[in-house]
Amino acid sequence: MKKHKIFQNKLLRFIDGSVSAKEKQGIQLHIEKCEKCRKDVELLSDAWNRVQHIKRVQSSPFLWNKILFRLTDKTQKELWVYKAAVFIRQTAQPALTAAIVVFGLFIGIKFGNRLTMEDLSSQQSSIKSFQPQSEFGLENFQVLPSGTLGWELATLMDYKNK
Amino acid sequence: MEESEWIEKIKSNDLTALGTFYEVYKDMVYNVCYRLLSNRQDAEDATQDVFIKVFRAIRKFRGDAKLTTWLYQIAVNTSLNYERRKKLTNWLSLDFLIGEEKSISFSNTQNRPDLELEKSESEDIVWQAILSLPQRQRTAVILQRYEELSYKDIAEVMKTSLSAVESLLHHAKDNLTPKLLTLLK
Repeated sequence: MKKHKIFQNKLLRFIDGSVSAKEKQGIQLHIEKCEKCRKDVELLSDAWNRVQHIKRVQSSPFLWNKILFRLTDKTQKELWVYKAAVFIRQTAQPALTAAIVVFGLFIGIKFGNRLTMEDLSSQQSSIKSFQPQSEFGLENFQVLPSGTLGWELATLMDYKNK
Repeated sequence: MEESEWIEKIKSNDLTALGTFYEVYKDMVYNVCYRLLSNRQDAEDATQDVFIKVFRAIRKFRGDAKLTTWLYQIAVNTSLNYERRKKLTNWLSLDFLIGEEKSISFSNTQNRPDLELEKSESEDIVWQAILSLPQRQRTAVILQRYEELSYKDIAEVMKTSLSAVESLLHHAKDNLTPKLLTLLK
Protein backbone atom coordinates (compact mmCIF):
# COMPACT_ATOMS: atom_id res chain seq x y z
CA MET A 1 0.00 0.00 0.00
CA LYS A 2 2.85 2.32 0.92
CA LYS A 3 4.67 1.48 -2.31
CA HIS A 4 1.48 2.07 -4.26
CA LYS A 5 1.26 5.65 -2.98
CA ILE A 6 4.94 6.27 -3.63
CA PHE A 7 4.74 5.04 -7.21
CA GLN A 8 1.44 6.69 -8.03
CA ASN A 9 2.87 10.22 -8.03
CA LYS A 10 5.69 9.14 -10.29
CA LEU A 11 3.51 7.61 -13.00
CA LEU A 12 3.55 10.67 -15.26
CA ARG A 13 7.32 10.90 -15.09
CA PHE A 14 7.47 7.19 -15.79
CA ILE A 15 5.35 7.68 -18.93
CA ASP A 16 7.48 10.66 -19.94
CA GLY A 17 10.70 8.73 -19.40
CA SER A 18 12.07 11.14 -16.83
CA VAL A 19 12.57 8.72 -13.92
CA SER A 20 15.87 7.17 -12.92
CA ALA A 21 16.69 3.62 -14.02
CA LYS A 22 16.15 2.30 -10.51
CA GLU A 23 12.77 4.03 -10.16
CA LYS A 24 11.72 2.78 -13.62
CA GLN A 25 12.55 -0.80 -12.67
CA GLY A 26 10.63 -0.45 -9.39
CA ILE A 27 7.54 1.02 -11.09
CA GLN A 28 7.59 -1.62 -13.83
CA LEU A 29 7.70 -4.42 -11.28
CA HIS A 30 4.85 -2.79 -9.33
CA ILE A 31 2.70 -2.30 -12.45
CA GLU A 32 3.03 -5.97 -13.32
CA LYS A 33 1.46 -6.86 -9.96
CA CYS A 34 -0.94 -3.92 -9.45
CA GLU A 35 -3.87 -3.74 -11.86
CA LYS A 36 -5.02 -0.34 -10.57
CA CYS A 37 -1.68 1.27 -11.34
CA ARG A 38 -1.58 -0.46 -14.71
CA LYS A 39 -4.94 1.11 -15.63
CA ASP A 40 -3.79 4.49 -14.29
CA VAL A 41 -0.71 4.32 -16.52
CA GLU A 42 -2.88 3.59 -19.55
CA LEU A 43 -5.23 6.46 -18.71
CA LEU A 44 -2.43 8.95 -18.13
CA SER A 45 -0.46 7.82 -21.13
CA ASP A 46 -3.44 8.24 -23.43
CA ALA A 47 -4.24 11.77 -22.19
CA TRP A 48 -0.65 12.96 -21.93
CA ASN A 49 0.38 11.77 -25.38
CA ARG A 50 -2.56 13.53 -27.02
CA VAL A 51 -1.17 16.86 -25.91
CA GLN A 52 1.56 16.75 -28.51
CA HIS A 53 -0.88 16.30 -31.36
CA ILE A 54 -2.89 19.41 -30.65
CA LYS A 55 -2.80 21.67 -33.69
CA ARG A 56 -1.49 25.16 -33.33
CA VAL A 57 -4.06 27.89 -32.81
CA GLN A 58 -4.28 30.47 -35.59
CA SER A 59 -3.95 34.15 -34.85
CA SER A 60 -6.17 36.85 -36.31
CA PRO A 61 -5.30 37.74 -39.95
CA PHE A 62 -5.47 41.45 -39.03
CA LEU A 63 -2.84 41.21 -36.34
CA TRP A 64 -0.02 42.33 -38.64
CA ASN A 65 -1.94 45.48 -39.58
CA LYS A 66 -2.30 46.36 -35.92
CA ILE A 67 1.42 45.81 -35.35
CA LEU A 68 2.31 47.91 -38.41
CA PHE A 69 0.07 50.72 -37.28
CA ARG A 70 1.66 50.76 -33.83
CA LEU A 71 5.15 50.64 -35.29
CA THR A 72 4.65 53.50 -37.74
CA ASP A 73 2.90 55.54 -35.12
CA LYS A 74 5.82 54.94 -32.75
CA THR A 75 8.37 55.70 -35.45
CA GLN A 76 6.81 59.10 -36.12
CA LYS A 77 6.67 59.94 -32.44
CA GLU A 78 10.25 58.82 -32.01
CA LEU A 79 11.32 61.05 -34.92
CA TRP A 80 9.80 64.09 -33.29
CA VAL A 81 11.44 63.30 -29.97
CA TYR A 82 14.75 62.69 -31.75
CA LYS A 83 14.63 66.10 -33.48
CA ALA A 84 13.82 67.86 -30.22
CA ALA A 85 16.69 66.06 -28.49
CA VAL A 86 19.11 67.13 -31.25
CA PHE A 87 18.03 70.78 -30.93
CA ILE A 88 18.49 70.73 -27.17
CA ARG A 89 21.86 69.07 -27.49
CA GLN A 90 23.16 71.53 -30.08
CA THR A 91 21.96 74.83 -28.63
CA ALA A 92 20.62 74.79 -25.11
CA GLN A 93 23.17 72.38 -23.66
CA PRO A 94 26.33 74.39 -24.51
CA ALA A 95 24.64 77.60 -23.36
CA LEU A 96 23.67 76.00 -20.07
CA THR A 97 27.15 74.57 -19.55
CA ALA A 98 28.76 77.97 -20.19
CA ALA A 99 26.35 79.65 -17.78
CA ILE A 100 27.18 77.12 -15.07
CA VAL A 101 30.94 77.61 -15.57
CA VAL A 102 30.65 81.42 -15.43
CA PHE A 103 28.46 81.24 -12.36
CA GLY A 104 30.88 78.85 -10.73
CA LEU A 105 33.83 81.15 -11.42
CA PHE A 106 31.92 84.13 -10.05
CA ILE A 107 31.06 82.30 -6.85
CA GLY A 108 34.61 81.03 -6.54
CA ILE A 109 36.14 84.48 -6.89
CA LYS A 110 33.70 86.04 -4.45
CA PHE A 111 34.19 83.30 -1.91
CA GLY A 112 37.95 83.31 -2.37
CA ASN A 113 38.24 87.09 -1.87
CA ARG A 114 36.11 86.97 1.23
CA LEU A 115 38.14 84.12 2.70
CA THR A 116 41.46 85.91 2.11
CA MET A 117 40.24 89.07 3.91
CA GLU A 118 38.95 87.01 6.82
CA ASP A 119 42.25 85.14 7.07
CA LEU A 120 44.27 88.37 7.12
CA SER A 121 42.15 89.88 9.85
CA SER A 122 42.38 86.76 12.00
CA GLN A 123 46.14 86.51 11.43
CA GLN A 124 46.67 90.08 12.64
CA SER A 125 44.92 89.35 15.90
CA SER A 126 46.90 86.21 16.62
CA ILE A 127 50.29 87.50 15.58
CA LYS A 128 51.37 88.14 19.21
CA SER A 129 51.27 84.45 20.00
CA PHE A 130 53.94 83.67 17.43
CA GLN A 131 57.50 83.13 18.52
CA PRO A 132 60.40 85.19 17.20
CA GLN A 133 61.53 84.92 13.65
CA SER A 134 63.73 81.90 14.06
CA GLU A 135 60.84 79.72 15.23
CA PHE A 136 58.67 80.89 12.42
CA GLY A 137 61.50 80.08 10.08
CA LEU A 138 61.97 83.47 8.49
CA GLU A 139 65.23 82.28 7.03
CA ASN A 140 62.98 80.38 4.70
CA PHE A 141 61.07 83.52 3.89
CA GLN A 142 62.71 83.85 0.53
CA VAL A 143 61.50 80.43 -0.57
CA LEU A 144 57.89 80.86 0.53
CA PRO A 145 55.60 81.29 -2.47
CA SER A 146 53.95 84.68 -2.54
CA GLY A 147 50.26 84.86 -1.78
CA THR A 148 50.28 81.91 0.61
CA LEU A 149 49.35 82.24 4.24
CA GLY A 150 52.91 81.69 5.33
CA TRP A 151 54.17 84.38 3.05
CA GLU A 152 51.53 86.80 4.37
CA LEU A 153 52.48 86.12 7.97
CA ALA A 154 56.15 86.41 7.26
CA THR A 155 55.59 89.73 5.52
CA LEU A 156 53.61 91.05 8.45
CA MET A 157 56.17 89.93 11.00
CA ASP A 158 58.98 91.38 8.97
CA TYR A 159 57.11 94.66 8.82
CA LYS A 160 56.43 94.64 12.56
CA ASN A 161 60.02 93.88 13.43
CA LYS A 162 61.19 96.72 11.29
CA MET B 1 16.14 34.60 -46.49
CA GLU B 2 18.95 33.76 -44.08
CA GLU B 3 18.49 34.56 -40.42
CA SER B 4 21.42 36.99 -40.39
CA GLU B 5 20.05 38.81 -43.45
CA TRP B 6 16.72 39.22 -41.67
CA ILE B 7 18.36 40.61 -38.60
CA GLU B 8 20.41 43.11 -40.60
CA LYS B 9 17.38 44.30 -42.55
CA ILE B 10 15.25 44.67 -39.42
CA LYS B 11 18.10 46.57 -37.74
CA SER B 12 17.99 49.02 -40.63
CA ASN B 13 14.27 49.59 -39.92
CA ASP B 14 13.06 47.55 -42.88
CA LEU B 15 9.39 46.92 -42.09
CA THR B 16 9.03 44.53 -45.05
CA ALA B 17 11.69 42.29 -43.55
CA LEU B 18 9.87 42.45 -40.22
CA GLY B 19 6.65 41.49 -42.04
CA THR B 20 8.32 38.40 -43.48
CA PHE B 21 9.79 37.61 -40.09
CA TYR B 22 6.30 37.96 -38.61
CA GLU B 23 4.79 35.54 -41.14
CA VAL B 24 7.32 32.88 -40.24
CA TYR B 25 7.12 33.20 -36.45
CA LYS B 26 3.62 34.49 -35.76
CA ASP B 27 2.09 31.09 -34.97
CA MET B 28 4.89 30.15 -32.64
CA VAL B 29 4.67 33.42 -30.71
CA TYR B 30 0.87 33.49 -30.69
CA ASN B 31 0.62 29.93 -29.40
CA VAL B 32 3.09 30.55 -26.58
CA CYS B 33 1.17 33.68 -25.55
CA TYR B 34 -2.18 31.88 -25.87
CA ARG B 35 -1.08 28.97 -23.71
CA LEU B 36 0.36 31.22 -21.05
CA LEU B 37 -2.57 33.65 -21.01
CA SER B 38 -5.49 31.32 -21.93
CA ASN B 39 -7.33 34.17 -23.63
CA ARG B 40 -7.40 34.98 -27.34
CA GLN B 41 -7.60 38.75 -26.99
CA ASP B 42 -4.81 38.88 -24.41
CA ALA B 43 -2.69 36.61 -26.59
CA GLU B 44 -3.16 38.96 -29.56
CA ASP B 45 -2.21 41.99 -27.48
CA ALA B 46 0.84 40.17 -26.12
CA THR B 47 1.83 39.03 -29.63
CA GLN B 48 1.72 42.63 -30.86
CA ASP B 49 3.92 43.69 -27.95
CA VAL B 50 6.37 40.88 -28.72
CA PHE B 51 6.92 41.91 -32.35
CA ILE B 52 7.18 45.57 -31.45
CA LYS B 53 9.82 44.67 -28.85
CA VAL B 54 11.63 42.60 -31.47
CA PHE B 55 11.72 45.59 -33.81
CA ARG B 56 13.04 47.90 -31.11
CA ALA B 57 15.45 45.49 -29.41
CA ILE B 58 16.91 43.75 -32.49
CA ARG B 59 19.95 46.06 -32.35
CA LYS B 60 20.85 44.53 -28.98
CA PHE B 61 20.65 40.97 -30.36
CA ARG B 62 24.25 39.82 -30.54
CA GLY B 63 23.63 36.44 -32.17
CA ASP B 64 25.16 34.44 -29.32
CA ALA B 65 21.82 32.65 -28.80
CA LYS B 66 19.47 31.21 -31.41
CA LEU B 67 16.94 33.66 -32.80
CA THR B 68 14.06 31.37 -31.84
CA THR B 69 15.33 31.14 -28.24
CA TRP B 70 15.54 34.93 -28.06
CA LEU B 71 12.03 35.18 -29.49
CA TYR B 72 10.71 32.66 -26.97
CA GLN B 73 12.32 34.67 -24.15
CA ILE B 74 10.55 37.84 -25.27
CA ALA B 75 7.23 35.98 -25.76
CA VAL B 76 7.35 34.31 -22.33
CA ASN B 77 8.42 37.48 -20.48
CA THR B 78 5.83 39.63 -22.27
CA SER B 79 3.05 37.14 -21.54
CA LEU B 80 3.96 36.78 -17.87
CA ASN B 81 4.22 40.57 -17.44
CA TYR B 82 0.86 40.95 -19.18
CA GLU B 83 -0.68 38.41 -16.82
CA ARG B 84 0.70 40.22 -13.77
CA ARG B 85 -0.56 43.60 -15.01
CA LYS B 86 -3.96 42.14 -15.76
CA LYS B 87 -4.23 40.59 -12.29
CA LEU B 88 -3.38 43.94 -10.73
CA THR B 89 -5.90 45.75 -12.95
CA ASN B 90 -8.58 43.16 -12.14
CA TRP B 91 -7.86 43.47 -8.45
CA LEU B 92 -8.07 47.25 -8.56
CA SER B 93 -11.31 47.19 -10.54
CA LEU B 94 -12.76 44.45 -8.26
CA ASP B 95 -13.33 42.16 -11.29
CA PHE B 96 -11.99 39.27 -9.26
CA LEU B 97 -15.31 39.28 -7.39
CA ILE B 98 -17.12 38.42 -10.63
CA GLY B 99 -14.61 35.77 -11.62
CA GLU B 100 -13.08 34.97 -14.99
CA GLU B 101 -13.61 32.09 -17.35
CA LYS B 102 -10.20 30.62 -17.93
CA SER B 103 -10.85 27.25 -19.49
CA ILE B 104 -10.01 27.21 -23.18
CA SER B 105 -10.40 24.19 -25.36
CA PHE B 106 -7.54 23.30 -27.64
CA SER B 107 -9.29 20.35 -29.25
CA ASN B 108 -10.09 19.98 -32.95
CA THR B 109 -13.35 18.56 -34.24
CA GLN B 110 -12.91 16.43 -37.33
CA ASN B 111 -14.92 13.56 -38.87
CA ARG B 112 -15.73 11.36 -35.84
CA PRO B 113 -17.66 13.51 -33.41
CA ASP B 114 -17.93 10.79 -30.75
CA LEU B 115 -14.19 10.08 -30.72
CA GLU B 116 -13.43 13.74 -31.11
CA LEU B 117 -15.61 14.54 -28.12
CA GLU B 118 -13.74 12.03 -25.98
CA LYS B 119 -10.44 13.34 -27.30
CA SER B 120 -11.37 16.96 -26.63
CA GLU B 121 -12.45 16.17 -23.07
CA SER B 122 -9.18 14.55 -22.10
CA GLU B 123 -7.18 17.33 -23.78
CA ASP B 124 -9.19 19.89 -21.85
CA ILE B 125 -8.63 17.96 -18.63
CA VAL B 126 -4.88 17.94 -19.20
CA TRP B 127 -4.99 21.64 -20.00
CA GLN B 128 -7.01 22.48 -16.88
CA ALA B 129 -4.55 20.51 -14.78
CA ILE B 130 -1.59 22.37 -16.34
CA LEU B 131 -3.28 25.74 -15.73
CA SER B 132 -3.55 24.94 -12.04
CA LEU B 133 0.24 24.64 -11.67
CA PRO B 134 2.38 27.46 -10.23
CA GLN B 135 3.54 29.93 -12.89
CA ARG B 136 7.11 28.73 -13.36
CA GLN B 137 6.15 25.07 -13.45
CA ARG B 138 3.36 25.85 -15.91
CA THR B 139 5.76 27.79 -18.17
CA ALA B 140 8.27 24.93 -18.15
CA VAL B 141 5.60 22.32 -18.96
CA ILE B 142 4.17 24.43 -21.80
CA LEU B 143 7.60 24.94 -23.33
CA GLN B 144 8.50 21.27 -23.00
CA ARG B 145 5.21 19.65 -23.90
CA TYR B 146 3.58 22.05 -26.37
CA GLU B 147 6.59 23.77 -27.90
CA GLU B 148 8.81 20.65 -27.68
CA LEU B 149 11.85 22.57 -26.56
CA SER B 150 14.83 20.74 -25.10
CA TYR B 151 15.73 21.23 -21.44
CA LYS B 152 18.72 23.33 -22.50
CA ASP B 153 16.53 25.62 -24.60
CA ILE B 154 13.99 25.92 -21.80
CA ALA B 155 16.79 26.92 -19.42
CA GLU B 156 17.91 29.64 -21.86
CA VAL B 157 14.36 30.91 -22.38
CA MET B 158 13.59 31.01 -18.65
CA LYS B 159 17.10 32.32 -17.87
CA THR B 160 17.78 29.64 -15.34
CA SER B 161 20.03 26.59 -14.97
CA LEU B 162 19.46 23.17 -16.48
CA SER B 163 19.09 21.60 -13.05
CA ALA B 164 16.45 24.20 -12.12
CA VAL B 165 14.46 23.28 -15.24
CA GLU B 166 14.73 19.57 -14.41
CA SER B 167 13.52 20.32 -10.90
CA LEU B 168 10.61 22.45 -12.17
CA LEU B 169 9.46 19.74 -14.58
CA HIS B 170 9.97 17.03 -11.96
CA HIS B 171 7.73 18.82 -9.47
CA ALA B 172 5.23 19.85 -12.14
CA LYS B 173 4.68 16.27 -13.24
CA ASP B 174 4.48 15.04 -9.65
CA ASN B 175 1.80 17.69 -9.03
CA LEU B 176 -0.04 16.88 -12.26
CA THR B 177 -0.32 13.12 -11.72
CA PRO B 178 -2.86 13.04 -8.86
CA LYS B 179 -4.86 15.92 -10.42
CA LEU B 180 -5.05 14.16 -13.78
CA LEU B 181 -6.00 10.85 -12.23
CA THR B 182 -8.80 12.51 -10.27
CA LEU B 183 -10.13 14.39 -13.29
CA LEU B 184 -9.79 11.55 -15.79
CA LYS B 185 -11.53 8.89 -13.67
